[in-house]
Amino acid sequence: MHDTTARTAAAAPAALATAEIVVGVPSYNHAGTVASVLRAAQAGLGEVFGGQSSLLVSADTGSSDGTREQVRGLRAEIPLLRELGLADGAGGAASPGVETRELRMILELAHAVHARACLVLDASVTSMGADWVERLVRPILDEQFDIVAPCPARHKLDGAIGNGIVYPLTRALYGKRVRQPLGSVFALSGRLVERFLARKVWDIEVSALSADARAVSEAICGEFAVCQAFLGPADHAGSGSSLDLSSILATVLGSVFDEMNHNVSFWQKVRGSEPVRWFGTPVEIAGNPPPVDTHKMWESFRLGCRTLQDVWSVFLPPATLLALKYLARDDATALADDLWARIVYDFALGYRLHVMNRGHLLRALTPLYLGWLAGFAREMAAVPSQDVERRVQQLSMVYEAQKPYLISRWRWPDRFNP
Amino acid sequence: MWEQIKEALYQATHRVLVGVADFLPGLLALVLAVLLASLLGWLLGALVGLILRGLDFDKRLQKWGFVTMAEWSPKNSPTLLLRKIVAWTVVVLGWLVGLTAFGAGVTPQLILHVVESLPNLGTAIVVVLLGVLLARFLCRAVLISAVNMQIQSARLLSLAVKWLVLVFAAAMALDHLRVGGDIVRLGFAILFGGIVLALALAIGLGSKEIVSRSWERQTHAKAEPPDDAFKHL
Repeated sequence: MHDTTARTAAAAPAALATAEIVVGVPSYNHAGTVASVLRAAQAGLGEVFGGQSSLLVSADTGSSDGTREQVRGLRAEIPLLRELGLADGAGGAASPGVETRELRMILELAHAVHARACLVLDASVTSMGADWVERLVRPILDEQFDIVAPCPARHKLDGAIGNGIVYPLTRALYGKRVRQPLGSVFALSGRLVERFLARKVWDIEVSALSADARAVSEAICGEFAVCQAFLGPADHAGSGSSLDLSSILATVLGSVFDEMNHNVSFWQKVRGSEPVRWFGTPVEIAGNPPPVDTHKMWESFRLGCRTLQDVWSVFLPPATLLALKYLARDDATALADDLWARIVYDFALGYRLHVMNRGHLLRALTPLYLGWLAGFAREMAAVPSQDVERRVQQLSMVYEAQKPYLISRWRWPDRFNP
Repeated sequence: MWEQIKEALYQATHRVLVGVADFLPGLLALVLAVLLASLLGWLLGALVGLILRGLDFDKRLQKWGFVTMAEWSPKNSPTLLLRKIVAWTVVVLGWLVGLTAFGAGVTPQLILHVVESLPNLGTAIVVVLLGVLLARFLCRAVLISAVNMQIQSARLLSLAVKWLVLVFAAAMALDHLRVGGDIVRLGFAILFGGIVLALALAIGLGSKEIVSRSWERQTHAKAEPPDDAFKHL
């Protein structure tokens, strides 16, 4: 656990013993975007919750690109703004996942001021509107929900890791249809903040990429009330750490699989799934989506099938390996949904059993993911967004249908071992 | 004359019988020591096997991430491997004891030499084992990374890395055992230098266009939009 005792005294002003709403912005090398996020949050708080006491908090312990100076420069413009961080010179570790520490600081402050709602925003978003604050906080204050997951508007094929893996997997595991568990912003009730701090949920370093998925699954397993809110488009600026696809997959799935291991007694009892209440109206995104080079993706998949069979054979059953071999050899253009779901489940099991270095295992999924994505993108190229959504729901149902396979393998891994 | 022949025959027979009488106990001791050591080795091996199986050693080893060790010797499980090591160590010790009893003149020097070489041998074995583990780890890491970077010759690249590390570990082990002397060092230097030179020539001559394109891409990276604008997250 990190030492947060060196926190600056500016954190909780003596005059403000309580606050109804705390809006926290954890940042790490986001000098280019942090100001616009803080301004939008200030506007949102002022417009909608003017009468309620609120705090706007920027938390940063490790930036080296002038983010903290940017925030300090906004003090006069935004009177609500407070800073959290290590004292100057204490030095924050510049590592992926450093925002977890900032997140924990924000939750501790929210708990200290007895906040009813704590909204965590993403400092890398360039398109945040003032209405985001209301959309995310209102369900907690007025409807007594405990966590509000965001659903930003996106182009139909964007967020493929969420569409093809994280959403169907979390839905099948935990039985709640939270459409974008990797939404990068979320709002929590006071009692859920208390629970997270008590269970030391954020004491484990996880990347900021998957902090939100962790919050959602922890809330569902704690049987807290979950809902989701439609938001406008969420464009992200490149932050200090630019990751390649296999690193993103490894980071996100590592965290999701860790949660899976952690909550095994919960998800093994869950059957099927139920819808989660929506707030707001869906926002249509303007413009055409960027073109997708499906041929290049499929070639990556075929190269993986030719080259990585030895690696996959450690944890994928022979039937799956055979199916992949045929796919790479024939003129096939897509992975079947049930095959894809079983592959993801097999990777989760391999991760749990530690059959090889976990970084290697997660990175070895990249060609398979590209193969799935190539097929999905080809199929969805000419259809409207609503049909893409229907297709994702169909894939999710296949994940649910294949869940007994996961449970069997989880309980008796030797029975399937190649 | 007859008396002298009788005497010579008698003395020769005596010497042979004395020789055989001197030789037999040593031989019997050697045979007994080897038999006993084999029996003891088998018993100890079986005991180690039982204990390790009881501890579920093979699966534990996998859980601790030592999958590569099992792969290194695929026909033998780690338990079987350890069982054999224990048994053969006891048998070799039995041979040394037997040889000492058999010929007191030569074998103490042999034992002394063996005992003196043991630490170096142990270190060399550890170096080779670590080399094998590292080679397999790096081989897999390079293979996966190269495939993810869509390098067509990913397997070749990973095999090159694997053998480079293996050769390096073997050279270190042999150097430690003082086997081959300068030849090993020289051979390794030539091999390693050759590989580096070959790579340099390959890049310098064969792939100069790729390198220059890559260099240009890096230089103009900020000005050009990225190839893959697709949002995976």
